[in-house]
Amino acid sequence: MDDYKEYLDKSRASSDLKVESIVDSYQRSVARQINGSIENSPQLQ
Amino acid sequence: MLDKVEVRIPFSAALRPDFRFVPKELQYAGLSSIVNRSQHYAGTCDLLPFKLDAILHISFKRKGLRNHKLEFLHSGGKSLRQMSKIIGTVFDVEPAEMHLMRIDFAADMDGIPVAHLYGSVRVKFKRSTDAIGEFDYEVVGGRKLEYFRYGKSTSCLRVYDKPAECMARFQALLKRSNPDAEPPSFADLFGSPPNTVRARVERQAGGGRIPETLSTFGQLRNAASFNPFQNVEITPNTFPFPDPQRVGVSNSLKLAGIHCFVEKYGINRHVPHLTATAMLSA
Repeated sequence: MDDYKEYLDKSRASSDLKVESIVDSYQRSVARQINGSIENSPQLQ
Repeated sequence: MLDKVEVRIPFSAALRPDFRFVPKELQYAGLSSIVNRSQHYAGTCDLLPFKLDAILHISFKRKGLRNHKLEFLHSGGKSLRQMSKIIGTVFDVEPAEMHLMRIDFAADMDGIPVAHLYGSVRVKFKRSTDAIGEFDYEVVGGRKLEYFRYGKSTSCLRVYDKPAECMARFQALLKRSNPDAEPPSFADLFGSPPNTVRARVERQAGGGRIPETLSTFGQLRNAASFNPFQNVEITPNTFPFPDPQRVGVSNSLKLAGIHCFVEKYGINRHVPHLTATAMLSA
C-alpha cells in the first residue's frame, strides 16, 4: 500500500506534463526544420 | 517536427530530364523495372537510387485528375529547404505552390513513458468529447509495435514509443550498411541510446483534412506558429499505468493489481483484501 501511495505521489509530481509542453516541443523542432538547423543532425526520426 | 510530408504534383507538371523515363516504365511496373505497382497510382518509384530521400507516386488512377504525389522519407530530419530541393529536382514546378496531401505533426516527449500518456491524454472531437485512446498496432521491421490512437487514420492523434519503433528499424538499417565498414551503433543512427524514454505524440492530417492555413508547401513556413494539438487535454490525477521498463515487471504487476482493488473498493476499503493476498503469498 505504501508503495502504491508513493508511486502515485511520484507520478503526480513528475506529471507536470501539460499540453503546452507538447506544443512547445513540436514548435521548437519545427522551427529547426524551417531555419535549416536540423540538417545532418541524427535524431529519432 | 513535421514528421511526414506528402505533396501533390499536378498531372500537367513536367518531369525533369533525369526522371522522364518513369512514365515509360509504367507498363513494366512490378516486373523487372525500377517502377513498382501501386494500389492508387499507376506506379511508384523509389528515388533513393538517385540519392533523393523520397518516393514518387505517378498518375493517380482513381477518379479525378491523374495527379502525382511526392512522399518524403525521414521528413522529421529534413529542413524545408531540403524538401523543396527534392521537389525541384524531380519536377519543373514552383515547390512552394504545391498542395499538401498529408502532414504529420509530431512532438517528442523526453522522459515520459507511453503508458503515462495513455492514462492522461484525452482528445476532444466534434462528435465525442474526452475520447480515450484505442490500442492498435503496426508491423515495423517484422516486429509488432503497439501504439494508441484517437480518431481514425488518416486524421487522428497517435502516441507511441519512439525508441522502440527505431529499434524495430535498426536491424534493417544495419543490413543496408556498408559491410566493409564498422557497423553504426543505434546512437549513431538515431542520436540517442536505445534505452531512452521518449513518447512521440503525433497528429496526422490527411485525407482532405489538411489545415487551411497550411495547405501548400510554401505555407509550411508558418508551421511553427500552428498548434496541431489544440484538441488535446491532459487529465491530472489519473493512475499512470506503471511502465515495466522503469519500475520492473514485478512492481508493475503489484501496482496495477492494487489499483484494481482501489478502483473497485476505494482506497480505504481495499486493505483487508490486500492483507489476505499478502498472507496467501507469504
